[in-house]
Amino acid sequence: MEVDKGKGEAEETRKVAEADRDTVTLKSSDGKLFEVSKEAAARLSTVLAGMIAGGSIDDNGTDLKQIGSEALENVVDYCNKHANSIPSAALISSSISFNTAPFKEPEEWERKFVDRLSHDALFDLVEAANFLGMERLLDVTCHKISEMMKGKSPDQIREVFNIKNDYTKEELEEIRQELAWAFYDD
Amino acid sequence: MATNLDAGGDGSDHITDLPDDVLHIILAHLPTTAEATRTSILSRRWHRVWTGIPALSFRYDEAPASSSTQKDQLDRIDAALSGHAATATVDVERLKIDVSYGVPDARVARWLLFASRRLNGELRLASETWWWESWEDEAKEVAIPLCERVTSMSLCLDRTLQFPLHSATGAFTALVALELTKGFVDGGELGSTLSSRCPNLKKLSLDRVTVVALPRADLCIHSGSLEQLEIIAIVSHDDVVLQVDTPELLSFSMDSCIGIVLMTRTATALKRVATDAVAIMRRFDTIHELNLAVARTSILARRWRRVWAAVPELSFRYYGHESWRTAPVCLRVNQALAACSVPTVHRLHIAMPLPRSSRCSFWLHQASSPFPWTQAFSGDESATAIYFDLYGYILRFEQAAGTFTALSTLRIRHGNVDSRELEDVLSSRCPGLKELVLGDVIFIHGGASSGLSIRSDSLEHLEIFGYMEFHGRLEVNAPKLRFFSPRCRLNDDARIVAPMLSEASDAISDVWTSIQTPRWRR
Repeated sequence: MEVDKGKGEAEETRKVAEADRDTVTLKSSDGKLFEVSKEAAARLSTVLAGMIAGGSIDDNGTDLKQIGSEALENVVDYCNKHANSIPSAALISSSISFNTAPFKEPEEWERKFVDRLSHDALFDLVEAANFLGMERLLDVTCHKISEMMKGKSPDQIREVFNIKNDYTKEELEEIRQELAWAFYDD
Repeated sequence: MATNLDAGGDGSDHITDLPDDVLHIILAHLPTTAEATRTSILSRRWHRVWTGIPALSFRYDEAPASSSTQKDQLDRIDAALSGHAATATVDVERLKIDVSYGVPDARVARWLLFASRRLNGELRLASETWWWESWEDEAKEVAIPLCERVTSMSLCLDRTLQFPLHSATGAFTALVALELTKGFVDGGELGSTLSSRCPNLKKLSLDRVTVVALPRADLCIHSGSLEQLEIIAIVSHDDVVLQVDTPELLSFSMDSCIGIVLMTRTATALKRVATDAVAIMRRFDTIHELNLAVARTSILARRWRRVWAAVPELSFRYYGHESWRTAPVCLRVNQALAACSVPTVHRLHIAMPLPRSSRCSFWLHQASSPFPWTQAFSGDESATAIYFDLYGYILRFEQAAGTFTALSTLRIRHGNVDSRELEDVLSSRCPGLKELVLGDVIFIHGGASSGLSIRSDSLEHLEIFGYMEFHGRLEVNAPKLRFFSPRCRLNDDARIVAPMLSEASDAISDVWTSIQTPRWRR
């Protein structure tokens, strides 16, 4: 079986994985195979956890037709990095709190992880994370996208994301009126 | 590493293709709801995306100069909430409104109504006002509606909060944490709400809340779920009785409260109790530590004996500098000690500026009998540690007989000590002294500054620090001394005989003459 490993995978990881058979093999839409630790996959992805529990994992590569090889490589890379990182105090803080944001700020390594992605790769990863039910990865990638929107005018946002403005002038004016509370000049 | 995030990648619009759920997560990360809402004009696809955001957040940190600007800001919040209510497809998981000025009751009522109908999670409403600001000439009173799905509620509204009447139906079923800051509550209303309408409440914090009610301002909390109770700066002019009946309580703290009488019935597992009021702990089954501070409290009641019977450590603290106010406080401590009949207390801690040193004498005398503390003036057989914080007073040791047989630690800070008396105590009346700490102490004898000669066969640990004045030299003769930390300037002629400390006398003299030498260990 030929395995195209994720960038973050070390040779030892592969050996250990093969010895213990403690990994799952995932197959991208373009037919490439990736191995990821069963434990990390089950912990980070609700969909993979369900498949592992339900026995629908294929030893020859579980088909993930919706996910391209580049995005799947990033998913696997994230799982490996996540398994190796020590959770910060923020992530293990007390559950009873007053109005703490449910979202925990990205860790330094998570920030770097998403910062190195190209625009297209970032969106592919968002979709993959959403498809696989990877809540944390989805949050981290969405946080990155929100940072790309923050403080920008609608025109600037359209430019960054290639959004085509299909409103008429009248419609725009109507919305500005309707949501006047949001369109104030501070 | 090259990234290409500010240009649009391959030119196609990825973001518009994302499912709404994902767009909501993205928009929820934007700092304010207004900013998220402005995405509605990006394109038709985006028109109503913002109405699905699960978190609403409004924040105006700086109070604007004009009241019309304040009104504009508040109008925006109201419009956003009603716009959201009219169009939203989801429940809100978080609503946060923080403004740094007063908000009229009617608006606060609308926010609360929104929370009760649409909020499925956390609520925080804060309208911070300063005491010199008067912002509206109205009742300043708001009714808290039933919020059945709110999980945590933090209200800092600086007005009277009315809780649902007995006749109302429904409960705060999901509420786990409640924090009330700055405001007025009716003790009966709040008590009945906490006791019968909050079946899952685990954490309660009351901070600067005034409990009012006629004829009596009692607050009874009966809760089978409460684990943490924090009461800060509750002020009452007529002895509020706070009844706490919470079998699951794990942590309880009370700080800077005045006129609170605390009564409890069951709290078996309580590990840590810190109260700053003269609280009456009637029946905690187990208390590991109790702090009873006498900070401007008005109560010392008959129940002291029972309180202390279960408490191994007693502490009286008074923070303040006006000596005229400490006199009645001292009197209460005296009464408390006189009324106490505990067989063994592990620690007695009294901290306050003293109007007269004779007070201290009385306490020390009291301590000599039931407490293993000390009667410093004439010696005591059971005290193991004595800490004097003198607040500038002079500590005198009596010449009378008696030794500090069990004393192993002596710490003296912030005051004047007669050096000959201390020398006598150290050399002949503390046979087991191991640790001596002197900080900011001025040594005097016969009305003038003097040197100090420490002779002790048992001393192992010596710390000297802060502002110290030695006119005359410092001598230390301590054959067992292992640790010495002089963190102050000592005269060149200081002399130490401490064979266990160092063979090299050169090293010692280096230490003597240095300023602020850190810990120095043999």
